Amino acid sequence: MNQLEPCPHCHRHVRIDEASCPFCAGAVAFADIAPRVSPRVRLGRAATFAFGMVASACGHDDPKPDARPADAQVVDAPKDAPESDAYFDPDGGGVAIYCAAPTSDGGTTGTKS
Amino acid sequence: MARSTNADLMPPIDQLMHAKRPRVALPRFTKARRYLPLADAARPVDRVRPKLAVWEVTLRCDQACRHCGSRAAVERPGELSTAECLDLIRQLADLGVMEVALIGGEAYLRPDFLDLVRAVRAHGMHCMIVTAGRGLDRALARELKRADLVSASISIDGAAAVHDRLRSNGAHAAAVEALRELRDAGVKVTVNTQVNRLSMPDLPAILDTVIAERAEAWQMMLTVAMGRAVDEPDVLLQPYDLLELFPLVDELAARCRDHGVRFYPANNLGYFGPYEHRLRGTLPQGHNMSCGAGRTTIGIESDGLIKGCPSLTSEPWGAGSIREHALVDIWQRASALRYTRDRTVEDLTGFCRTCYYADTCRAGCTWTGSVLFGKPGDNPFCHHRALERDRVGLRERLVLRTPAPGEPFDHGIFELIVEAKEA
Repeated sequence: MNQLEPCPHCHRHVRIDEASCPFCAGAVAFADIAPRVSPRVRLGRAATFAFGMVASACGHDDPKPDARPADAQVVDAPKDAPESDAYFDPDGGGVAIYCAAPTSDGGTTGTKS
Repeated sequence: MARSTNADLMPPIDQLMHAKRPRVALPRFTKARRYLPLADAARPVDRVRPKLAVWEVTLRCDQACRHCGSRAAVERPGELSTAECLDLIRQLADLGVMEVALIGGEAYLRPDFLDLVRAVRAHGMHCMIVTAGRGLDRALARELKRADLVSASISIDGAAAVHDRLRSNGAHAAAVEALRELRDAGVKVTVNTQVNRLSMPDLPAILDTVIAERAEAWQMMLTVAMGRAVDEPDVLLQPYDLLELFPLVDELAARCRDHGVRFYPANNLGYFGPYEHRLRGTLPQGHNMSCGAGRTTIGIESDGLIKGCPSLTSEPWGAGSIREHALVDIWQRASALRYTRDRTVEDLTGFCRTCYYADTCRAGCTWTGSVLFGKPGDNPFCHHRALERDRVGLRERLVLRTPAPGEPFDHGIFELIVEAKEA
């Protein structure tokens, strides 16, 4: 699966190995961008949803600050995250269910074995 | 809202608002349920554990909503007993489920509903309900708080006129009252909204209610062509309506942020358009990640049928009955649950197969696409796709060719027409 980042010009997601955006033809340069890392602990839905904000707050030195749109959320795993849950599905995915939206603390945030 | 270019093809909103309610027939339960045998063994990929279980605890309902995908009205034959439900809750906890959402029908119509909430909590899982709130009064709200319910999501599909047209007279007032009673009882409240041609113009008004009533989150999903929704296909959005919807959604999401409301686009509201980085920027990969049915989510029908997602049709997505197999065996070894674990670009068809995002998106929501054509793999309800069609002067339009037969979770067959956008 390709890592995708939003084009800084048109905001459509673009493979990071592209030299130009296939949608707006603008130049993009993601070669030095840090890989997105899935959370290494098993998160509930609300925690998954909130993970980006938490991870961003942990600090991240983006090698190319202008590589993403200014309003894009930067998300990487916390450096002190525990070891991977062997059964965590890094591919994630949701379902379009007629379901309860996660509340700010409506999801569990720790590991569960 | 500007009128779509399909005004010559689609009935106007005023006409839809006054369309006579189709006869609400009780759903037929005619099919004998038989499912493929389980595989001999689980593979490493099958050991993924679901985070979320969404459980239709009864199909009984106190409303007969005109867009209800399950045609909820009366209980299913053979709904699980209390003892069976309690055992299933134990198995869900053993499987590693972290959150259980109880839905219906109306979940509170089960006499043992509060016992189920308490049991979910006693097993260390978060418990939520999704409700239209028609019969959810102060006493029940307080009972739910005492049972340690974590949150409740109230369905609001428009301002009063649209919501009542889609559901029943007085339904909007009842939903808002239920929201207030739950909130005042100390239960966290959220709102979920189905988007269709009737509710789309009302989305700003719904957000006004969400903010005014201090709901914590707002989930938005497209109305899907299943169940009673197929009986009124003109109420459904057309794929090209997403060109108009997404700028509005982006505006509303910004309003949510300004008011501290968590905006939560459901998985069938996508994909990869120019607003994705804002709508889903806080997800681990910064964008949507295909369908989680059978990977992050498990669905349960009220008679114990296990599916990857509660919204998927009972056939062919039913994986097996909890009355015949242990939950972990169904989860790991049923072919219907393995579909999304094994799906690759080779399984896609149509536009989705050739899409730039094919290997990430994999046609997005399995449910939304599969009920249109009777098979998964192609999903025209996609903002990126609508944009790409529009860029070359085209649009996609769905026309119902075969009506739904009238069973719970049934669907029709649609034809996808690709035409010049000015047609």
